[in-house]
Amino acid sequence: MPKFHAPISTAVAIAFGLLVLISFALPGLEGLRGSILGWAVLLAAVALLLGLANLFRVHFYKIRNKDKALYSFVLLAAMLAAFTITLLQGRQGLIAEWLFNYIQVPLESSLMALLSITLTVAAARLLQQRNDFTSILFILTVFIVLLGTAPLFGLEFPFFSQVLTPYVSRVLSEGGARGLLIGVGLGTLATGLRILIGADRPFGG
Amino acid sequence: MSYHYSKDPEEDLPDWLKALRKQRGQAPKEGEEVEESKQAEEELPSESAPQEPGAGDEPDWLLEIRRRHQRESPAAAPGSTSGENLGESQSPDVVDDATEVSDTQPLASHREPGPKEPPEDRPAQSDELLPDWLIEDGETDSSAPAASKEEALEEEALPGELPSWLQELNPPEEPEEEPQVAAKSATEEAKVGPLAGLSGVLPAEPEIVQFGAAPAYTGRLEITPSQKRHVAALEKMLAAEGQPKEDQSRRGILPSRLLRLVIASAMLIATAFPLFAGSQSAPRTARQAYPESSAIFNQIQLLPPNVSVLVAFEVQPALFGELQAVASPLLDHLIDQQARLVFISTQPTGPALVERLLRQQLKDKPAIATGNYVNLGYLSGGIAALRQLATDPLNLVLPGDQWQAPSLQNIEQISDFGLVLVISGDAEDARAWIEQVGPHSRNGLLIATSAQAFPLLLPYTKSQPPSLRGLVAGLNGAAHYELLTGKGGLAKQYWDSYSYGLGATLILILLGGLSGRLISLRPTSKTPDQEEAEHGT
Repeated sequence: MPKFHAPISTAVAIAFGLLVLISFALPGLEGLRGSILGWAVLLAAVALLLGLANLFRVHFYKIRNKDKALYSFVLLAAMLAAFTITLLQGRQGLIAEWLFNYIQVPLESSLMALLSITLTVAAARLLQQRNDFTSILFILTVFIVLLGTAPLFGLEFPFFSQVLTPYVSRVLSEGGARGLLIGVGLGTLATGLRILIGADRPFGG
Repeated sequence: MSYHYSKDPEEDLPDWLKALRKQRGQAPKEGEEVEESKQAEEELPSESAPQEPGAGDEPDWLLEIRRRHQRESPAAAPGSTSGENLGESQSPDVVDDATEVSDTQPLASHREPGPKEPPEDRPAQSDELLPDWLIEDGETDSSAPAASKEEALEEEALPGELPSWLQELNPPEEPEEEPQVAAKSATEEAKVGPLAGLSGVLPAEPEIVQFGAAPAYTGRLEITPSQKRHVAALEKMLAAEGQPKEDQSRRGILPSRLLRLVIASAMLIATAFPLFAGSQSAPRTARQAYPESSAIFNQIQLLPPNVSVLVAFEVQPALFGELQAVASPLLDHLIDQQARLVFISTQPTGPALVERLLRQQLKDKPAIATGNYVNLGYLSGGIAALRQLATDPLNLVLPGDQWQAPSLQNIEQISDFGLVLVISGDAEDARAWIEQVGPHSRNGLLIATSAQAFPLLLPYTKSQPPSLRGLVAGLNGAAHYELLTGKGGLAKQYWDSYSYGLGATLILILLGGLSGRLISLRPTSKTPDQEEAEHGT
C-alpha cells in the first residue's frame, strides 16, 4: 500500500530545512528562523509525550498477550504513578521529590557503579579469552593510565603521573579525539545534506 | 552283434512278416522279380496292413507311379527312397537297417547308419507282398550281410529297449575319455568324504576338494583391539544414560559469578574502608598538572559581583555522583563571587538534580538558602532549543514566568550573561553547547565534565580562538580545583577511596591478566571422559 504521507513529509522537511539554512545567509529572515525553531521546540515536547504514549501502548499489549506481563505491569504502574503525582504536585512536590531522590537517582547511580565492576572483570579476563597483541597493548595502556591518574594505595609514581600518563591522555588520546570530532562533523554535514536533498528520510517518508 | 533269443522268434512274428520271409527264402530271379512284383502289387493291397477303403480302385496317378517304379526298380540307386509310395500303409516296425546293439554299449549309444549298399546285395523281395517303400528300404540297406539283415529283421526290440531306428536318433556317443571316466567312477569306491565306502559316486577331484579334518572353531569370540575400544565407549554411553548429565553451561557460569563476586567484594572493601575510616592521607595532584582547571579558576576569580551566570546542568542521575563532586567547588566559588546563578537544562532530570545538588552541598550558602537563584527548568528541543536560546532567549517556552526574576532583568540575549558554565557528563551535550551557544557568549564557555569526556573536549581548549575557556574533568580536576580554592569538598573526601579503589582495580586486572596468560600458555588438557574414549578403557 503506497504511503501517501511520504512525499508530503519529505517536502515539508526539505522546505523547512532550506528555509533555516537560507536564513543564515540572507538577512531579514531571523524572525522566520526563530519561529521555525520555536515550533521545533514545541514539537520536541509533544514528541516526548508521544513516546510516553507509545511506551504505554507497547507494554499494555504485552500485558494483554501475557508476554513478560509482570515486568510490563510494574513499568506501567510506576510510570503512571510518577506521571500522575508529578502532574498534580509539580516538580517540587513532596512525593515527587521523594520518588526522584530516593528511587530514581539511587537506581541509576547503582547501575553506573556496576559498570565499574563489569569493566574490571572484563579487563581481568581479557587475556584469557583473547590473547593477542591488541589485548596486551590495551592492558598496558590501562596500567599506564591507572598508575598516573591518582596515587595507588597512597603511593604516587611520578614517572607515570607527570610524564607517561599525561603523554597518553593529552597527546595520543587528544589526537584520536580530534580525528573523531572531524569525522563526526563531516558525518553531520553529509547527513544534513542528504536530508535536504531527500536522499535520507529518517522521518519515515 | 546280434541278439540271441531263447525262444523261437517265429512265433511272435506277424503273418505278413512270415510271408515275407518265406518269399525271401525262395529268392526268385531278376526277371521274374519284375513280374512277381507286379503280382505283388496287385495282391498286396489285399494282404498288407489295413488298406484304405476303395484301395482296389486306385487312382490313375498311383498306378502310373507303380509302373514307373517297376521299370526303374532294377536300376534303382541305393538310398533312393520312394516318395511315390503315398497312400500306402507303412509298418513302422519293420526295419531293414536294424542296428545291432552291443551289450557293452549303453542304450543311448547311437550307431550311425553305415553306407548304403547297392540294391543288388539285397535279397530279393516279393513285390507281390511288399509295398514299394518297403522294397526300397530293403534295397537301400545293403551294408549288412543277408544273414545279419535277417537277424536284424528277426530282431525284436525287447521291452524297455529302444529299437534301432530310434537309436539312430540318439545323440552321438561320448568321447572315449568319458566312457573311461564313467567306467572309472562307476567302479571306484569312494574312500574319503561323507560318501566313503560307496561306489558309483562322482569322485571329487583331488585338486578341487580337499578332504580332511574340519577346522575346529572355538566358542570364544575373537575381538580386535579397535572393537574393544568401541565396545568400551558404547558401554560407557549406556551407563551414562541412567545418570543425570552435568549441565555444562552452569560449569562456566559458576566461575564467572565467583570471579565477579570476588572482584566486587575487593573493590567495595577498598573504596569503603577509607570512607568509614575518614582517611585523607593520599597526596593530591600538583597544581600545574591541570592548566584547564586553573583557567576556570581564573575566569571565575575575575568575575565582577552580581553578574548573572548561566549554568547549564546537563546531568543524568547515573553520573550525578561524580559530577556532584566536580560541580560543587565551582558553584561554591561562583556563589562566593556573588554571582547570580541561572540554571537551565535540556535534560528532563536536570532541574531536579540541580535542586538536589544545591540542597545537599550548598544549603549553607545564604544565596541558596534564600532562594536567590533561578531555575529555568527543562528546555525541550535539543539542539534547536540551544540555537534559539543563543539568538532569542526571551521567546523560549519555559515553565512559569521565570524571566521576570531579578537575575534575568537585564538579560535579552546570551551574551548578556557574564559566564556560561556547562556541567555535563556527556561529551555530545557539551559539544552541542559549544557549537550553538559558545560563539554567542561574551566570555566563552566553561565546562565541568566527567573524566570520560575529557579527551573529547580537550581539543576545544586549544582552538584559535578557543571555544572553551576552561575545563574541569573528573575527580582529579575537582580535587585540583579544591586545592586552588583552598577549600575541602567532596573530592577531598573521596580522594583516598578513589586512590585505594584504583589500586585494587589495578591489582585485580594484573592478577587476572597473568592468570589468563598462564592458562593460555599451558598445554591443553583433556577431560577424563575424552581420554577414556580415546584409549577405550
